[in-house]
Amino acid sequence: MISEHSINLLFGIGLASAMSWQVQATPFTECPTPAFLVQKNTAEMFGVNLATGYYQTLASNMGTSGKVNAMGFNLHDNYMYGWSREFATLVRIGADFQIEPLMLTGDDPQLSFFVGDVSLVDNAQYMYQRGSGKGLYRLSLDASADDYLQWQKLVDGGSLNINIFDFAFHPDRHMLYSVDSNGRLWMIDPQSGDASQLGNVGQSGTFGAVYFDVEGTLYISRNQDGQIFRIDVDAEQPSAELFAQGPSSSNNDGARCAIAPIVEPGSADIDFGDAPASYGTLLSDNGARHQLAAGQLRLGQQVDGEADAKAYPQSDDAGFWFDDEDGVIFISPLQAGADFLMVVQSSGAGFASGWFDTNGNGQFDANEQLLADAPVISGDNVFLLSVPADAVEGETWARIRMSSVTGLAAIGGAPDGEVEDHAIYISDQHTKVSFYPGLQQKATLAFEDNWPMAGDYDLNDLVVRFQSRQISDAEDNMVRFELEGEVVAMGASFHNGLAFRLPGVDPASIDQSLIRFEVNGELQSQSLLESVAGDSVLVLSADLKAHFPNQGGCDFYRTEQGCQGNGSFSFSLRVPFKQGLTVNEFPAAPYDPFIFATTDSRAPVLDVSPGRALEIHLKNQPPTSMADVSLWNLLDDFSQPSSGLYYQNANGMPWAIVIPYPWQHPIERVDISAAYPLFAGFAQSSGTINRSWYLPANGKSELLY
Amino acid sequence: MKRSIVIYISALTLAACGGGSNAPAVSTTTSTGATSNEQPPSTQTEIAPSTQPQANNETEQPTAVASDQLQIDANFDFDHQQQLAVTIETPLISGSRYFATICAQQAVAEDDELSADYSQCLWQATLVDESTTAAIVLPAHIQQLVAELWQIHQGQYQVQRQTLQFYDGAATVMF
Repeated sequence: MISEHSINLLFGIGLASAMSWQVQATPFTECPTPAFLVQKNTAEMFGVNLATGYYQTLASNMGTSGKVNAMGFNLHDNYMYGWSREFATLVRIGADFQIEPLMLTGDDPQLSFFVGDVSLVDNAQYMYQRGSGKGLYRLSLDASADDYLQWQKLVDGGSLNINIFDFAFHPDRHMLYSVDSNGRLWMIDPQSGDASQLGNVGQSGTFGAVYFDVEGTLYISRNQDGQIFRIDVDAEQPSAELFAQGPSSSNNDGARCAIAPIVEPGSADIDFGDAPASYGTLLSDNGARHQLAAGQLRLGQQVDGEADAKAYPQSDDAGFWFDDEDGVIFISPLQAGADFLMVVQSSGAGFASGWFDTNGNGQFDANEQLLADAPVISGDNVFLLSVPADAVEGETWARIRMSSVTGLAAIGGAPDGEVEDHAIYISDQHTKVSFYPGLQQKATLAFEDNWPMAGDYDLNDLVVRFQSRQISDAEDNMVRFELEGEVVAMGASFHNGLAFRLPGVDPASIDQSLIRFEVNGELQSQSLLESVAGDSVLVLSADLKAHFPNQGGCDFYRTEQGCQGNGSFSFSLRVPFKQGLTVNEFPAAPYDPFIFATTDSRAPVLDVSPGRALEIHLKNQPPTSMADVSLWNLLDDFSQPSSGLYYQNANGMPWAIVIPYPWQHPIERVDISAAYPLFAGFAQSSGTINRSWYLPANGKSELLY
Repeated sequence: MKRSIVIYISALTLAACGGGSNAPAVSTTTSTGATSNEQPPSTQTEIAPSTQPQANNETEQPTAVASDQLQIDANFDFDHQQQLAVTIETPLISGSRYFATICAQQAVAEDDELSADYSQCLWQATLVDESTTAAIVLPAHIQQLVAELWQIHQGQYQVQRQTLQFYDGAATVMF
């Protein structure tokens, strides 16, 4: 959901009713995050998000028929100041964006200014015009000072003669900075008038709006094309990095509260990618980002707004309720040297671009852009692309961007649209892929962990969402098994481990040295294969509780209303196979997921915990050879191993189920039959009716977490 | 850019059963396109019902029975999916590359075109043989599947789609 908070802060102030210039305007209430940009011959005020280039009109009538330039934001009184061409004087601009001409005293230079800013240090407006007889001027804005609004010439424009169109004060030092039309970065000492050239930033043009942020990063906006560049003014060789696409204009001037961050902390109106940081994902790395606004272009159905990226492995896209990477789908396997098909689902007309790290170096290199400004329309857009022949086999990343503007790079801001980063796999052979429960879907595994005692049937003692993929070659040999998921709820007091058994898969058929197992994005070094004869048992965690140590004032993790939960356990598993295991020999999804006890207490169910020997499987799944068979028929268990009946009570109820859907589990102590009224019919009919009982529309939302 | 319109009528007449229960008559479409976004033209013979998750429309009335009072067959293992085998038959033309997908059928195609819900694809492959088998696991809430055959030739693609009809947990699709 897009937060409107920031937008209101940015632009709500522009909704104030117009006032005549004679009326004293009210100041801004705080140091605003956006940049202010005044354009056009009859001045209009815009608010610009420098991070994305997104802008909105704040005032189309500023109370003048002429231009306003040389603007600066004054931290001392929270007004903006600028030079009015119509009134030939300094004007004050309040929160209503109406100008208020000011009466100046002293030796009027009879000039018109378009370069100016307000000092953060001495509460004064500085303005500049090049050329002999002109120069750098100061006007005090301190109403209590003797020289309030009195002209003071600091240096003649004959000695300070640089072709600049705006300048800005650094937030930490009393120095002015600007970039001239040839791309030279200047630092000007307003006391002495000395100007130092700090190097050429590599971009030329008319930079009519110049801003600083609180970090001391300089932003320059080029009139001709609206492009916004950022510059580290303290770099040894400062360079202008394209940062965002903003509005272009023949007349441009900007002002900004220099102590404000470029993106307001806590805001949620920018979409970021979530590839690893090396791909240029974080704001500090000029990561790919798009402004979010209601009704604008989207990829797929979901999008999430953030103040900064959550780069993999901290990505939130494996989250609980939605994955916003839902607008780009690879409908064929990616193979080195071969074509592949990609579908881009767009909400409207725009342009799509895509980068694929085919050499696996952790970056999107210039020659890795496989899709450039391709037009898209509303709905499914199919693209036939080619993986380079020299692509490196293995897992890597792709970034797809879509916007109404063209020319986007793999990094940088955009005023609308969305970015999606996708983990992809480039194969070196023809492959077949089976998905469970679907390409962009997740299944739900839900346990009662009181076995062999009956539980309360809220089936939320452990809730895990997962997706599996089986990859085979053209000859139907298993190549790889992939499993990804996360714990979404834990309404249990007991400590439990989590494992998946692959029945009938000999561990010797697994290329164990190439298993890749990550927990919460961290590569695990220890083997997860358990020594169980005949089957491969993949132990994802020996004790999940350890990942959720403190739930604050809540008893459990995400099963009680109002309890959001602390901790996380996500997993990503890649299991490669040696030659010889065929698809037909591989078990079908959902395999055999199970939990097992730890040595922690199972009281009051059992006086002494059997530890690993206590397993809880899906109904009628036999346990592994490590299970303690003496537990059969204890308490409420009604298993009959000789008949192939396991893990059920006397009425046939299970202790675990798998649902091929991102199921919403019942809240604590709510019976599944109450939360999903169709469940009873499904269960008692042996699944002949109510087969979709688990869909949200069939649940009682007030009883679901 | 519109390339061509091909109407492909399948002679597939397998009876509806299993995971494809309540299946409609067989529907087929063929579309063509290039590397652009343009929506390929298509013609279809019939539209199948939605496969989107939706509320149960069966007549069973909810009971007030608590779970510990339910009487459930000991052999019923609460499967919410079904294993199916699909055979895809297609002639392969030299110089072309072929992809196949099996996905849930799109709920309501905007232009009444038979289409796939790509977010719910169950299987995809590069085809190298004229007969290919696919083992898929069909979630209970998916009512209808569509198979797609993508032919790639000299930078152009052509796609054919057919709904799947199952008999005894198996289906054959002939493109």
